[in-house]
Amino acid sequence: MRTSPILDALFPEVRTKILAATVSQSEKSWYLTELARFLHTRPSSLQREVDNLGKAGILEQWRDGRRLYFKADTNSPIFADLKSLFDKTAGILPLLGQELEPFGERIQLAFVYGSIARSQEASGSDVDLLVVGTVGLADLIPALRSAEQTLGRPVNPTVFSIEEFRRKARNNDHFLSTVLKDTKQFVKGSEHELEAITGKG
Amino acid sequence: MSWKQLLAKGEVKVHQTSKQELDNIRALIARDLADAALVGLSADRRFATAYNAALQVGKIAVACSGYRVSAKAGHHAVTFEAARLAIGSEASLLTDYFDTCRRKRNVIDYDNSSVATETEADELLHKANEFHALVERWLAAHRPAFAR
Repeated sequence: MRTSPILDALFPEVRTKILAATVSQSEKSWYLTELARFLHTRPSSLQREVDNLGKAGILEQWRDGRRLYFKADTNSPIFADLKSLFDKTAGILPLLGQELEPFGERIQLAFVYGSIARSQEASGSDVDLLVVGTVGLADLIPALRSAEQTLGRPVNPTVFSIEEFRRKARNNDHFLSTVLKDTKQFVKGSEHELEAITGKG
Repeated sequence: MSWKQLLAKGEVKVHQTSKQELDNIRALIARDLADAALVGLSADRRFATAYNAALQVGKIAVACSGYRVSAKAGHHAVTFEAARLAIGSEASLLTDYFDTCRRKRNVIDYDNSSVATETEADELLHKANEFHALVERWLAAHRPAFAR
């Protein structure tokens, strides 16, 4: 999960992680060990925050056999506000993934770079998105306009064909080299797939 | 937004175009579409040139509707919005696309180099040609006095 300086300023780290997971996947029911595995932490480190969020009515909890389940309480009066807050901060990647998903194999690789990827964004920072595949900018615009409305930030796409991306990466193109050396947050694909395209390990 | 609202906000002014004005704009479009196809130019320069061709095509649609866009901040965005108003929803995918290209073109001209990719420059040239053909078809159908 990406972090955000905005969320860091608002909530302690553990609470942010619990809320980001439960609010952005609000339909999902979790049990403590499962959430701990998802967040790469120990169940004991989550217990107190989960209890507090449950008492505050932000999470709903119920017992099934010996296991205690919880999920975001979508009937809470602040659920919509919390969801909006997390969509605009920690939820950028899942949202872009959802918008780009219909393009299927026409997108080989997509990642966010720049201040958002480095978790150094200001409230007005744009989302810099690099897309490699057979889609054009014109194809992406309706999806990205929708993402911009949800995020409340402009999304700046840069589109490469696979051939141009590979050639420029190998020739150390100024812009691409800078981007590739910087932090990347993958919306589609991975570092491994990026290396497979560029031929650079 | 309607023409009335654009007029009220001072974004457009009433304007009577002429054959001379349209000939000048058409010559400018032909120049920019040809230059944007030059392989030796950088992708940034080809992108910015193809963008200018699309902007001039938008100006024809606005001029032939009896208006011109006021020369003030944001006039490129207004040109594409007014062109969509002139032609109708048939143009909205293209004008939305050009408006996104406008943001990229601002960065090219004033902030950074190597902003546009070759893939994007090729696509923008293709779309500018498509927009040009659409506007000329629209003129022939709805403003025959101004048709080529």
